[in-house]
Amino acid sequence: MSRQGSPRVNKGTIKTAKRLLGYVTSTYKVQFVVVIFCILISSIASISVSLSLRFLLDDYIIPLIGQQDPDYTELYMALTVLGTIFLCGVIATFVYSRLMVTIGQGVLKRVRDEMFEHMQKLPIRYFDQNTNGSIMSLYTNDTDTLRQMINQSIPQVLMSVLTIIVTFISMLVLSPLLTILAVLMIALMFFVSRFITGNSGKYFIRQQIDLADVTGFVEECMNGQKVVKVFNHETISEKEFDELNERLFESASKAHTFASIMGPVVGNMGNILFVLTAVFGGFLSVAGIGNITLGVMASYLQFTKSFTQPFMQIAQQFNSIIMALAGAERIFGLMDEEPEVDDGYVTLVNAKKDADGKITECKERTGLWAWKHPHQADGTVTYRELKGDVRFYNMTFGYTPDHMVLHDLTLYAKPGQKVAFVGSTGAGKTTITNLINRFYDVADGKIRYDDININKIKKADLRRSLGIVLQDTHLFTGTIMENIRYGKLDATDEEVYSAARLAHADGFIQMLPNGYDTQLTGDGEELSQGQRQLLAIARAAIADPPVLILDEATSSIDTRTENIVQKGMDNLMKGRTVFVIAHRLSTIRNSDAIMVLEHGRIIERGTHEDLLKLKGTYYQLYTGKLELS
Amino acid sequence: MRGTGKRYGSLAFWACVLLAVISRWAEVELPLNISRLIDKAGQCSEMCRLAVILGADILLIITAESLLQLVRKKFLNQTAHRYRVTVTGAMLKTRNVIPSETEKAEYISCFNNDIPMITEEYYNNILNIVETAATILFSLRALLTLNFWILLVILAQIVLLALNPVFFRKKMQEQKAQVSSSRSRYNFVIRNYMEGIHLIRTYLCETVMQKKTDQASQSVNQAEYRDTKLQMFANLFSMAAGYLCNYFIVIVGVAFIASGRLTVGSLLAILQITDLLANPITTVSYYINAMIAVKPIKEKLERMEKQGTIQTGGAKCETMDEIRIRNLSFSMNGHRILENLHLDLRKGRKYLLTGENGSGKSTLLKVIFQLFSEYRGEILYNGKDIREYDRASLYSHMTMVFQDSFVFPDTLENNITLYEPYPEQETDRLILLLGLEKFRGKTLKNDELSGGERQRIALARAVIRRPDLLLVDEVTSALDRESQYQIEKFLLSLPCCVVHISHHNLEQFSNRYDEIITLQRV
Repeated sequence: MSRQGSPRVNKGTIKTAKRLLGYVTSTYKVQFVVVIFCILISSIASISVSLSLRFLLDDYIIPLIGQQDPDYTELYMALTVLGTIFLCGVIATFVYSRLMVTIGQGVLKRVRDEMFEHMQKLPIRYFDQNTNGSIMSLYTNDTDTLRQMINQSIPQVLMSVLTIIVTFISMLVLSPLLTILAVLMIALMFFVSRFITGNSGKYFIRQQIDLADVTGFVEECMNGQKVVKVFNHETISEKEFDELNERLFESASKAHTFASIMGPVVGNMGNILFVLTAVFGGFLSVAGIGNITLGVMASYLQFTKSFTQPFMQIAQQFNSIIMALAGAERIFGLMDEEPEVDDGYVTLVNAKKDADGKITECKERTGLWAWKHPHQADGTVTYRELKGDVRFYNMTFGYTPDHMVLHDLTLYAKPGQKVAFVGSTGAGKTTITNLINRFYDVADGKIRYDDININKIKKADLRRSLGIVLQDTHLFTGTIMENIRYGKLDATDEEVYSAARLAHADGFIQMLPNGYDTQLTGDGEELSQGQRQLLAIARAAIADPPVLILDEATSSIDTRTENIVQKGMDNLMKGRTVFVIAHRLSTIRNSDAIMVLEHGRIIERGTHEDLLKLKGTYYQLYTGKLELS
Repeated sequence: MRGTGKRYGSLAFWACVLLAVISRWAEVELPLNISRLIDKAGQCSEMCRLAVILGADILLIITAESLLQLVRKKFLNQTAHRYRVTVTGAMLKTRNVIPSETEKAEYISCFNNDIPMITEEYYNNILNIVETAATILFSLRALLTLNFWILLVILAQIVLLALNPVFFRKKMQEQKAQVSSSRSRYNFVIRNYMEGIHLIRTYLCETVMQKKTDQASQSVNQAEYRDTKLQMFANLFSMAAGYLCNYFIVIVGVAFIASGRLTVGSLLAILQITDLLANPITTVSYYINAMIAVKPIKEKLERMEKQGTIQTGGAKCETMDEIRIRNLSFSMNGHRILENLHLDLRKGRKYLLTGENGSGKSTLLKVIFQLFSEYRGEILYNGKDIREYDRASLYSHMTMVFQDSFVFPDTLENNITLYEPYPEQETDRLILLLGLEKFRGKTLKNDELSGGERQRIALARAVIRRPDLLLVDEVTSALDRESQYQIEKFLLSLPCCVVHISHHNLEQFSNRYDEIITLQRV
């Protein structure tokens, strides 16, 4: 739950607005122009009553009053013209409304899709540093306010602006004297409302932040539900929640207090102008100055109403626009995040070996993989067989600059070796696997894969050569078949079944009523922890990677099933490089090398027997078991 | 404290109503006063008098409206607040203690989507309707005094607009519901993505996820599109009617002036008042439509609140002597997990629970712990059906530690004691025993701890309360050998009854258990 200082409203908001406008003009240029044109027509139509009054009264009616046999033809014609203008107005409104729907929805969809597309490219670090709740808030709250703004505020503001322009011109034409009064009034209105908005904008942003905090808290609450209920501690959550809620309540109140004053004050400045115009105009016409006839007065008074009303409407919409722009700013923040950098140029290709042992690239899947290494210096390309030789050289690393997790770590895994990491929790085992995966990057030369600097290998290709089974198994919504297929997207059904058999997941899957077509939701709650692990293993099996990383993979499986899985895993592990992070003697016992980690340093290294002879930390960790046998 | 019915009765609401009435009356008086001024053009003293009246009128409008806005926002804020409190209350009291992923997403959707929707489109609109009703009534009355025929024209318009909801209501409701559901599905997909990000990156599943998200995004897009289009049509209909009405007023008004039955000032007043009416009439149907559309969501929240409370018994729980389970059967989502189970748990004894994956060990503990209430068979605590005990009282005698425990963003000590006043030596002893010294005094973050560390904190949390029965679900699986050893030794040394699910118990401890129970899959 983050706390930020009071953010600024103006500079960034204008930039954001321009950027948003860019979305509209880049795809919907023509439509937007048509929209503006139609709004213009619509606003002209809407003031046509006011304008027509002058002519109707002065030119057609008043001369006719008292006449014996009035000739109404010209009047009828004028009325017909008026009717036509109205009709045009309606059609124009329909056209621009319809177009705005398309434009608005199109922009919104584009924003959403771009957000997700960009998110796909972001480094893992972004997800570790930002809570899921705050990222979700972008997709929910912020896109919502954006939608509101596009659908309601923008058309309203455009309409208001154009109405103001058209009205002002008409007013000038009608009576310059009275217009001066109007201009003075408007200036005063601006001054007052600007003063008020400046203060309220930041409360709106604060409100959005507090809303995000409440949402984030609710999420945490949901995660900690079990503990809360079991220990009867709804009171903790309630207390904290009340605090957050109060804060949101206050910032919402403050935000709206200022805004609430603004509406009436600005809106009634219009009424004040109305009154002043009537009084002033009345006295002027009595004094005979300025050629103010009854018709002029009638028209002009109508105009003052339609002149100030748009200002008020803009003011009303202003707040929601500011809020929406604040949300858009955050959305753009996500889109401006640095994507995962990948300077790698070495790729993984299918290869075949000819009689001399020379490696060449080929298109078919041969089961033999090679690194394709283009050399920029002379334009040649070398191929190196993928063997799975991973080495760390004096690696020091930390997720944050002030806290190192690994210290001067050197390790090596020869191809086909099974390397086990052992150590107390927090010793750095998961970090090592994060680095092999290039989820986090390190300095050049610190990690070498098949003697190639890992930074030179393209991330996608690197990851294709790896398979992972994590401690927290995650299953996606979809069928069991689909979940296993995530390991190899183009796998056939047969391949899925055999992978499942290898992992011994096939047994329990067949027992389910829908078998492989059983739908899993979210976190696969229909299955027990152990069953989920088995699915994760099946997923890795189908990926058939040259290097496998198992992070405490078998810890939630009962001993009996584990034995069976172990046998299958042994087959899977043959000829592959495997990094195992586990605590089970049975898992570790057959490793070629065991690395004992403590506080990010390797303190002991060797085979199981070697380490026992040392009678060091490893020995101590396993003392209990050994004394018996 | 968390009631539903009081909203309408609140003072803020009625204050809003009163202020609305006053401000609208004053607003309608304005054009009337101006028309009088114009008609008296030329008579200075009359004009001066009317000018003063106008000034007072304006002042009244401004004050009333400012107050109205302030109180209104306070009312809406209060309402949103009360809903938020209600929803969290329901969340905390749900029947099914373990919320599924879909339930979680729904609650969050409530906060983000539903509550703002209800505040803005239901309660705000109630006030809007009151305001517009006041405007309409006062305006109609004024028009009546000015010119009857024009009033008829306007009434015709009102009737026309009243038909608007009839055409659009049902469709709008459907659309709004569709928008809401497609949105929560989209959010769900995104959340799913974020939680599995490591896997997606490693298995290069980005294209698959892209397709999934695209589908969800497309359906949101379509739903929103239809929703906006529908609203647009509804509003357009009203607007066209407004234009028509205006046109006829001009015609009729001009006709009356020509025949001398209407003054210019009056026509002006008529036009002003019709202007005043224009917005209200077109928007009132919009408000009603919006309210109707949101009603299902409002009802959903109110149902959520009612559904909340778990029925627990009222009996006070005593120290456990024995728990007898007979013929226990339990199914979830159509799968049978437990079938005709018999089990006895006696005070102070230690039980080891093992079995294959999917044999129901975790589920059994959760059922005993009353996390699932729809089971068949009986669980007798000291001879009485366990459901008859008051839940809070029961939980002070038995407690459970789960496979995935949650650590709150607070200090280690607070996470253990959960703010209850346990003696410091107790906390210290446990911190020492469970190897948690390095976290002493630090503020913990759930994501920064390893699985093993979280388990140990959860254990401390459980044990400090000295329960009679401790249910332990696979706690040692994520720990290194030494910690496993310490913990199992610790569990076996406790005075209370312990039921320990473990696959990997250290063999040296096997004969320290009073009973080893093996479950087999149904």
